[in-house]
Amino acid sequence: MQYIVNGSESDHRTSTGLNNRKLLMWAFLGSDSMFFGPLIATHFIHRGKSLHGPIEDIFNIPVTTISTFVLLLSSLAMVLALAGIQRGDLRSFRIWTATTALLGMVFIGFQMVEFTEFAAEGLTPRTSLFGSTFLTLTGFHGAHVTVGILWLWSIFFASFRGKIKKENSLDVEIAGLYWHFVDIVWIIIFGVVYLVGTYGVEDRLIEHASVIGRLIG
Amino acid sequence: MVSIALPKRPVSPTGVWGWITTVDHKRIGVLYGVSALVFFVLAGIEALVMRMQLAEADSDLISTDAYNALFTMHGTTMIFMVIMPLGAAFFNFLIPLMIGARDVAFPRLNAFSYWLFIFGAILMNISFFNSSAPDAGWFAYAPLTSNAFSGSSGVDYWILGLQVLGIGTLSAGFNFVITILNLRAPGMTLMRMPIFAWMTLIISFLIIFAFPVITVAITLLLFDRFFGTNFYSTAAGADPLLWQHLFWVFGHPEVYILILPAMGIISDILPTFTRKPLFGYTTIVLAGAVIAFLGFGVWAHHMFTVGLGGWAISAFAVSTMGIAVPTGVKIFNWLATLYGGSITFKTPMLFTIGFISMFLLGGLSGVMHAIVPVDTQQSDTYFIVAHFHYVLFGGSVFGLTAGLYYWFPKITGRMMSETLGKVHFWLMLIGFNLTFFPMHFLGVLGMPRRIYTYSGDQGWEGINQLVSAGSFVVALAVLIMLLNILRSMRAGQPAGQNPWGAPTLEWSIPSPPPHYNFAVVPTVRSLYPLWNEDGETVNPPDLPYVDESSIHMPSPSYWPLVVAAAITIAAGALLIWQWHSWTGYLVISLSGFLGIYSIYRWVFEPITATESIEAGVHH
Amino acid sequence: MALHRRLGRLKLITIASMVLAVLVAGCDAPQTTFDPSSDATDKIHTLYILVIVVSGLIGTAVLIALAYLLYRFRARPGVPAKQIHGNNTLEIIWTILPILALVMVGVPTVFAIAGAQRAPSEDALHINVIGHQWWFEVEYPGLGPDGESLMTANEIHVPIGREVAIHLTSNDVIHSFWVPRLIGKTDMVPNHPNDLEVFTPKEIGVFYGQCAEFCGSAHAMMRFRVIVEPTAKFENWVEALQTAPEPSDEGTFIASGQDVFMGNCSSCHKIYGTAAQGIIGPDLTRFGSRLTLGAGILDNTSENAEAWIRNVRDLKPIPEGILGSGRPAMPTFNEVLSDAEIAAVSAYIRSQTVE
Repeated sequence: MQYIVNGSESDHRTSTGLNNRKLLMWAFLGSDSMFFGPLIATHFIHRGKSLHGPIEDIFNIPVTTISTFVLLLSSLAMVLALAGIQRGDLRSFRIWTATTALLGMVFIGFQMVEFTEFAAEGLTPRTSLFGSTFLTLTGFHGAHVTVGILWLWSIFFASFRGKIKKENSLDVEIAGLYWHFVDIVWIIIFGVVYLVGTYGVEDRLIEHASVIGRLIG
Repeated sequence: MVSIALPKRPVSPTGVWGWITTVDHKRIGVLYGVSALVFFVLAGIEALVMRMQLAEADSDLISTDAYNALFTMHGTTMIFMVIMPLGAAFFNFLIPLMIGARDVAFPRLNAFSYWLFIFGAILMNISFFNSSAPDAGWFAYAPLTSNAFSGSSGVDYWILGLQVLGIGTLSAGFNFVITILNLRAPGMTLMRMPIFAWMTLIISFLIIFAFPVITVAITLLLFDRFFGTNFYSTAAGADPLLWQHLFWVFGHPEVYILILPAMGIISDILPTFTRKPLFGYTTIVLAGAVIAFLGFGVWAHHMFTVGLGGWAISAFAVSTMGIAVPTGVKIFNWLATLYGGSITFKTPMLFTIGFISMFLLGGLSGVMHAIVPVDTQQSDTYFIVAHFHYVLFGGSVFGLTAGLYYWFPKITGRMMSETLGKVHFWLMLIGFNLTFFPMHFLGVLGMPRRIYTYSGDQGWEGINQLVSAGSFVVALAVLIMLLNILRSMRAGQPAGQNPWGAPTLEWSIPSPPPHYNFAVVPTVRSLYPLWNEDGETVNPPDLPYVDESSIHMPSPSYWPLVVAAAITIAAGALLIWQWHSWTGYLVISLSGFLGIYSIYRWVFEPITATESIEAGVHH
Repeated sequence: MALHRRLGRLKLITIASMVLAVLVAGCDAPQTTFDPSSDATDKIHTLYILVIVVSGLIGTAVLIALAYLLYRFRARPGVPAKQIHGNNTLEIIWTILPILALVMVGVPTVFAIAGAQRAPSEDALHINVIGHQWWFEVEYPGLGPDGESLMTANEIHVPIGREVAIHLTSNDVIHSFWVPRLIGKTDMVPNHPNDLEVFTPKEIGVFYGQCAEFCGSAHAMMRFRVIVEPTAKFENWVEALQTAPEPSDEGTFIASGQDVFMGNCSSCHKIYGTAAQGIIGPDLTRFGSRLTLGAGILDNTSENAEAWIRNVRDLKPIPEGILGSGRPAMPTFNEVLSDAEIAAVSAYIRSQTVE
């Protein structure tokens, strides 16, 4: 027996057993990885090639660590929001969804402050290779977070019109998948761009190698 | 809530409004197909003008700027506005029929994909009207595409047209992945799908992983041109090879996106005209998957002469040779399908044979390019032009033409003329080889690509004349094809449900199919549901009476069109006002709001307009 | 004759004639890739022929098989099709065999690639070629007086039998350096200097080269010449390029040309040993001995030279004004100079030869 896709999830049978829209979100996230991948790679291969302007020394690692932690916490809140709606607990769902969105907004706030400061210190997209690649990468990430925030507030308000129920918790799960993806991308950016950028894998390796070289004479 | 008097949601619209709001995969397929044919003629004319210019040495029939725009638009149009949408036409019309479904997984997203395609295509071609057609080549190498070297808005049209098109293609990719994975009829395991369905699945994965990369490439170029960033700016220390890497990481999978539909089509035509199963079904499926996977690992063979270094060049030479293996295996399997067969030479079969032979030649010249020292003499010459026309024209276009002749009866209910079809085939085969085989010689004799003229002392003129003559034979063949299509639509023999005695599901329903495709969703038990073990066509059993009004289909909608329009308006605004004026900001913001509002309306619109949503018919 | 047979025959005839034709190609074209004149192109040519023959054989074999199958298994009444689904052994065989064939081609290819990366020998002649829209700047480091560079444009002289190491870059967009009879091409990429594979020319002669990467409006007219000559002649040429030209006698036609040149052309063009030291356009030292002008597109005659000066845009589609590199394009002089003045300038620069 076969059914056409419709809004209600209950009678829905698919060849793989996975819901169509969930599968769509997974496919989209796979595709989006191929969007962020080249952006991260483009930034990374340009390390040390900018002709002038500030580079990784402009980062404030402690502050960015805090904003990263904020985003991580928001993923936790998202998990709790989903758990809430899966139990049918609308109140819990609303509290945790709002928390997720608010934490996301705090993260964006950190980004905006960071970019403003960088601009004051002379780093804009037009300054150098570093400026172009870093700000474009983090800018697109921020845009993804913003879309997520809008989505979260939409389902938050939709829950007051009776549109979010235990029966269609899948809608929340799908939003959650997107949100977690955006968080994971940030972890990668933080690691590759901020941490490796500042502390430099190769420098460390060279340091270690020369220490060992000295030890063995 | 402010309520604007929006048009009511159409229920069963007719006429133009019906086509504009359609979410029916069959109609969307027809829209793609007709649009693609129009662009085929346009890009063909672009080619004919180029050939007229090149027929004589030192010719000044057209200027260099006109010529450069022509070769750029010919390539871009043929790839993105002809071959891809022709493939999409077949995916759209056939996939649900082949897998026993009533529509694709996301019918409105499907319509959205079409509208973005046609809007993006029109956007790019509007550039001809203000004399700034893109003119930096279809692969637009940096830094030639920077503002400094391409100051007119041609490259902007190229970028934005492609961005709009690209979103449509991506959406279609997602749609078909979900459709093929999730909407198969009971018993239709993946290994019982027609090869065309498999190829569509593979292509859809290629699309969703490759198109984001070109999105990045052209977005970065857009930022450089509009906002003064430094991605491809040599003055800021950038290496222009960044563009080439990004472009070709997309570009190589793209050529597999271009050829796999044709490979799928002929794999499904061969059994019908040999009356036996496809030889090595599993191998062909695996070979397709391997080609797609490896296809992401060969991109720098387009860059053998740019200075990559010995290690990289060797690695890509080896991987490129590697990808020849699954391709060759497919050819052997097709030949083995002929063995022991009972072959009839109808037009679809003629084009299938044409595909196999021409693609073979193109594949062999491709392997030659993998031999790097030889490639240093062949790269950027007419030898390459010969190679890719053999695989894209002799391959993709011939294969897609085979599909046209084969499925035309199913789509329209009428047969195409066999006589005209044979004339078309022979003219096309002769014209195609007359045009493109001599180009191998031009390459050997040292003629580079993309030159609007050449001097008489080079010894190229005679061959160029032959090539140009051949191109007009091709044009004649295309005219015959169009004549055949138009005549057959009106006066072709009625086709009936299975005129070819073919084995797959789409031939079990009327021609043309009713809007709900299958009255009763079939249960599938084999790879060739309409054949018995002896290869004889078996009539499907009589179906129980079904009240058609109980079959609920997704309702038409205009939101996909509106969202597509909003995106295109924003792109157009960027082109016209160039981010310099308040009018530009205003138009972009307004279209942004329109887009977001329309997305909300789309998301909250029920799929079927009727109040009670019943499940499909049981059996 | 039945359709399928006709098909098969047609294909056979076509392929046979194609292969034959390939072998006789390369006779009269100056830029042909089939007339190797250096050690590097000799090796490429051998590989090229081998590859064409093997591909031709494979292609012909498969097409013959196709034709045969189409004929043998055409539909005949009362002969049903054999319902064969596949054969794993065959699959393995026709996977392994192509792999073997490709290994046989791939191993020499990888070795050839490695060989192409070899460093120049000690006594190689080093030349830097810089791509511009739409001409080739040529520099011989260390060959000039006091170890400076020797400059010229669009014409490269090399002595026969000596290894040549050319280093490539570009001043603006991507170009490509290609002189088919001497060496395969390598791109000239700004910010990404490349070394052309080293090669030793084996024949005296004039070799045609052309830019092989689309670089804008006049890409089709960005050509050059490589002149392989006896060592003595080469050294004579080097010597001439670093010798100031004979001063012209006062009051002569040539002297008037010199005045016009210094007043109108010297800001962009350099002539060694004179007051003309402009480095925006091609170097014109000893221009009289150059075979071509305009970047390899016209023979060096007084008629062509005058036409070029009068209105370069009649001969080559160079845009007006400032090019993308920031350099101004060559202006036209038909409104600034009289025909007599143009003739004088042409006579002046063409009077300076290598002898």
